[in-house]
Amino acid sequence: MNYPFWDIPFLGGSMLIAIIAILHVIVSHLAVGGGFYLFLAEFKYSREKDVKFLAYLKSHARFFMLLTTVFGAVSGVGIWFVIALVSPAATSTLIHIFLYGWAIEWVFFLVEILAVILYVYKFDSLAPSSRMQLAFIYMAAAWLSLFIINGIITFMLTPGDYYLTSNFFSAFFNPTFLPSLFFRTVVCIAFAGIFAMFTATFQFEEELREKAVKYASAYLLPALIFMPVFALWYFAMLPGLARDIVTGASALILIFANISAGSAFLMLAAGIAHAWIEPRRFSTIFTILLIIFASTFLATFELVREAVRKPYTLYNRMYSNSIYVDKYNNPEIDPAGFLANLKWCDIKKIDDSNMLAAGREIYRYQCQACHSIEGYNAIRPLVKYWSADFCEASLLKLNTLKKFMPPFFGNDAERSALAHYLFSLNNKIEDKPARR
Amino acid sequence: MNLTSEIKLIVPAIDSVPLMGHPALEKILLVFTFILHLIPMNILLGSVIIAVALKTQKLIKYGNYDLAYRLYRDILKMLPTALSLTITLGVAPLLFLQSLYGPLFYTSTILMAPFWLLILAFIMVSYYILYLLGWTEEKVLRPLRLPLLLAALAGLLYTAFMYGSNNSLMQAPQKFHSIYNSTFYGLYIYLSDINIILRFLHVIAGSILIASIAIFTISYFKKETDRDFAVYTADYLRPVFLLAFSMQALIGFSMLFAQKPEIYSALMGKNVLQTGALWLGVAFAAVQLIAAHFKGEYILKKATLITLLISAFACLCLMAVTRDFIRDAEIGTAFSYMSNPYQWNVIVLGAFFITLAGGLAVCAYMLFGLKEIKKP
Ligand code: HEC
Repeated sequence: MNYPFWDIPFLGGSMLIAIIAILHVIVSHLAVGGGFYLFLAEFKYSREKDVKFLAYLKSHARFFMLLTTVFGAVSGVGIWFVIALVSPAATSTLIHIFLYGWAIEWVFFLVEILAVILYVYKFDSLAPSSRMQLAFIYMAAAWLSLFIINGIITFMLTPGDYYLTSNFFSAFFNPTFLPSLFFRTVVCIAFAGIFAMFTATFQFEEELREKAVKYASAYLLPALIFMPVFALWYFAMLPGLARDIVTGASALILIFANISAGSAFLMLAAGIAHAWIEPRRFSTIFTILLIIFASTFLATFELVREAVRKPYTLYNRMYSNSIYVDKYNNPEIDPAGFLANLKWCDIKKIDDSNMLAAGREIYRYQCQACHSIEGYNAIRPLVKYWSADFCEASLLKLNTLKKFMPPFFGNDAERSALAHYLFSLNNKIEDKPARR
Repeated sequence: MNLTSEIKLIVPAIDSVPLMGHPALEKILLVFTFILHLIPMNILLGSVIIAVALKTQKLIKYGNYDLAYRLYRDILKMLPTALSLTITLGVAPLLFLQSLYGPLFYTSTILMAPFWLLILAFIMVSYYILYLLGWTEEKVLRPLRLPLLLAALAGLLYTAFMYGSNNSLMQAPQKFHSIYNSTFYGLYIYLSDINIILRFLHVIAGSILIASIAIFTISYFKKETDRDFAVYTADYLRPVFLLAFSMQALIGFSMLFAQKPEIYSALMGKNVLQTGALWLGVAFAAVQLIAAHFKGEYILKKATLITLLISAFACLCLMAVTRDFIRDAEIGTAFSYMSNPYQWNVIVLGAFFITLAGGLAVCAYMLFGLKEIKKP
């Protein structure tokens, strides 16, 4: 309530974040995994000296650079832009906690970008040993940037004891840090393999294509073996409520979790099987199918990961609607009511003339983070058959109605105003004009 | 009626989590990384403008078609890399800006949210266009080349404009509340400040200056193998530089006069450091002007190049410092970045500085230490 609210029709903020984040996450995992691929492929070349494979590596690297340095980088900045617009308060907290973590990540990012640019543009003019060094630097820097970002993302869901100790390292090395890092690392490597299969299908010579496809399929193996292990480990470290959400408290999220696991298995199993049984008939269409599986897997995984954090943006500290969990011990918060804390809203006292308008404002700041009016998780149909009184009574127990909703914050007049507004969504009522 | 009493000043509170170092440290890092970002940013924007100029003049006018075409190709080839580096180096100042000025910055971007987000789409499209034209131009239909180049330029100009507009809005918190109450969905572009236009023009003219020095530097290193080209480039760029320089002087002084009285007087002697920074910057600009005037043999001397590079870099740094001073002076008492709470965390800070030093060393190694194959 510190910041103004950006009203996004239909989509709502969380969906907008999800769209940009999913695009970014797919490409950024590829960017990290691609580092392993470039280095190991260089290593393979240094032993076999197969010039055709080297030529393939060159075309692969160029395409890789075009995708990761710009699309990856810009969509990464995009996530930043959009979370700052949708949840400025949480973003500000994260930046204050992790400023220098992010600054370190930026150094890795800079090294990574420069390495891949030089690798691609100087591919022909560099000595093979130097090219291999560049590939190594890229691989290390890209993975280290995952290492850092992983600490920040996992902190949002599992803050460990940071809010008690204020210790940077307990925030960073939080309970899900390791399982998430391992999980993402094998995913990255698998993505690199799938991408390499894709670029391999553009090679005209059958023998080379077969070799490149088979080689790439090896990158899917670690994920096939270890992903279930790391996923379970990660799951075990989640807070109880989060585990409930995945295991059935929300039907939609349960379905997503299953789609995610299913597509991951399909992409890995189908990719490996086809590469070993009939590598020569490996087609671009088939690799596109694999890419679709891979994207579905990661997209649903990220949606689930975001969903299990509900009702918080920063677990146990800030709800999704930017309201602090610990309101009553916070000197910045006026316990008199919600509107008293709402800097950007001019209505401070509710009467007959501004009831709907006040309800609308309260709705914006308390509910719209998760509910659009009509569109994503729309509120209008959810309260369609609710009377005004029922709305008002339900607001008292929102957080028990659905555990992944924050409790309503406000005094009785504010609760009535919000109930009044919810009722007005399906029934025609208006504010009385102010009497002069 | 007293108008000022109607203005409701709302500035969100600073987050209570302490930063890991004194805000002054973040401020230094902000200015330092911003300067790093400005270098490729100016080279990029200015080079695209120069490329458009070369292309629209049909090249032939400029004497030697062959050399002009090669100059055009050389410029285009470096643009995708310049754009990548601009993005990469832009991340750090954005980070430090958020850490210090979050309450102002987040609010001003929310007020213009859709236009702010569109920047990303435009940058991405510009990059892919520049890559197409730079590295695979032969695959692009001839009549499409100039329109595509112009589209890329438009994307970059949009970005520059929105950054400037947001920066100006950010330093006018007294306007936040009324803007928020009179607009919907963040569909708002802040234009009502003469400084926005001036700043925008200042960025454009400055980018042409820096880009012409950068392009000249590249051709300078070809002077042993290709003297004609190096001389041609210097001769082509000289009038470009002069034109941009005169524009820049005009815009720069207009900006100075358009400042609020207290900022103007601070820059004109009242604040010794700020006055010194600005006018030393102007002096370095003058040095560039003189060096750029050398002709024939002299322009291809090493001393000339070094003078140009050092004075351009010094001028850029001093102008960045001046710009930062003006920001804080404009914000005035409404907000102070110094109020950010902090608690030294030497271990994390140390880790950052070690990583930074190591990272820069690795970058230097990649740029200068790698072995090339000897071409027969
Ligand atoms: C953290 C995100 C979040 C916030 C904030 C939130 N909700 Fe919800 N709410 C949900 C989700 C998720 C559902 C489940 C939707 C479904 O089952 O289709 C839900 C369901 C509901 C329902 C339907 C309950 C039922 O029993 O069917 C109502 C009514 C509702 N929310 C009202 C509100 C109101 C009013 C607010 C603001 C005070 C609010 N919500 C804030 C996430 C949120």
